[in-house]
Amino acid sequence: MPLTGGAVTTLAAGLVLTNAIVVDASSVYWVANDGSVAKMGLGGGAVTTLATGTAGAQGIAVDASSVYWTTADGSVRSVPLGGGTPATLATGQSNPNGLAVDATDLYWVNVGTYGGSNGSVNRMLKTGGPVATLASAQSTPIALSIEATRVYWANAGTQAASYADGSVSWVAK
Amino acid sequence: MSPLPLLVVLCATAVTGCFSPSSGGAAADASFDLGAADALFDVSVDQAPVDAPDDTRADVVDAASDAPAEAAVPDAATDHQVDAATAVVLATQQKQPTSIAVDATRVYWASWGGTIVAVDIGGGAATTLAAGQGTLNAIAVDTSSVYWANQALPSSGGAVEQMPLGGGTPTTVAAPTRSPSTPRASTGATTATLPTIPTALCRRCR
Repeated sequence: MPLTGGAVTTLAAGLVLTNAIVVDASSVYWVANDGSVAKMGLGGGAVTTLATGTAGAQGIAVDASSVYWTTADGSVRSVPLGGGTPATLATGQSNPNGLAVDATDLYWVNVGTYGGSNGSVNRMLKTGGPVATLASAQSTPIALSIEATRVYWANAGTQAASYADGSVSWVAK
Repeated sequence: MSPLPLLVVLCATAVTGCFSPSSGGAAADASFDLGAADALFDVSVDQAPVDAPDDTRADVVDAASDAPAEAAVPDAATDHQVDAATAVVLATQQKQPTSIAVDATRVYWASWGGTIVAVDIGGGAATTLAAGQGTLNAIAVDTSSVYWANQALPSSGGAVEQMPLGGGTPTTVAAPTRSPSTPRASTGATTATLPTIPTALCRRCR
């Protein structure tokens, strides 16, 4: 669809609760609550399933080589853009959600307990390895965005305050 | 900004666990009350936070929004495991932000409370670009516009809205012509300036 509006083209239908979507120069990628990761050309065409069988997929990011996603059971995973065997890069994360990738690292938020204050912002090398915590004690961090030097994220706030105490913060990469 | 006359949904499947409009504590509580069926959704995953040992590495500072401190991460480039990062809070008392985007000068967010807000990346007063927009769960920016997804009511569809970066009248760039019960791939805008931004147009909607 043109940026300014116009006819909406349905590229794929009948999908199972698509949770997040991202595009690169050629394809659109999405993850769904059934744990599937799929892609399709920007112009439409056949849907290619890249991975299945994980817990509900939450956030998604893509670089020149892989698709990365977070799962409801606490993992960060990747699969080559062309498909193949998915890799598990991290496990034991507490409700990981929004995810971004740059040339070297993955960044994501761990929501923690919804409505609580035990969420975090995390980083690890795309190739795997230990997870670094960039910020902790966050109140339901649900989304993040990166630029060249910073990670920005949004906290939805706490249940105790009826989520009126949300905030936006950044930290250096 | 006036509320959209027709509030519509981009993801219309009946799912639980979404952020509620949280008009009150009870509503918010209900929104996050999970049953076994929600196990697939991240809310109910009850795991020990593995990042707990890292807590001491993150020194979160609630800096005044108009005077953000500079973060000092001298070892970040060489050591991914030793962090001395200082978080800088750009805005507080926001009504349930659910998505975020950034360009070269500002950071933008959409809130479940129906606002589009921006603040300079260097800090300062936050600017509400749009209000009364319904229940918003995704945002993206390019060089000229900010886009967001209005999830709205579960029975009435959804919409993708567009507005100039500086504010103005939102225009609807996409609205559904489908049954709200039919899930589909969302129509997503993505940023033009960042390598990848997860753009969740349907994040655990109710």
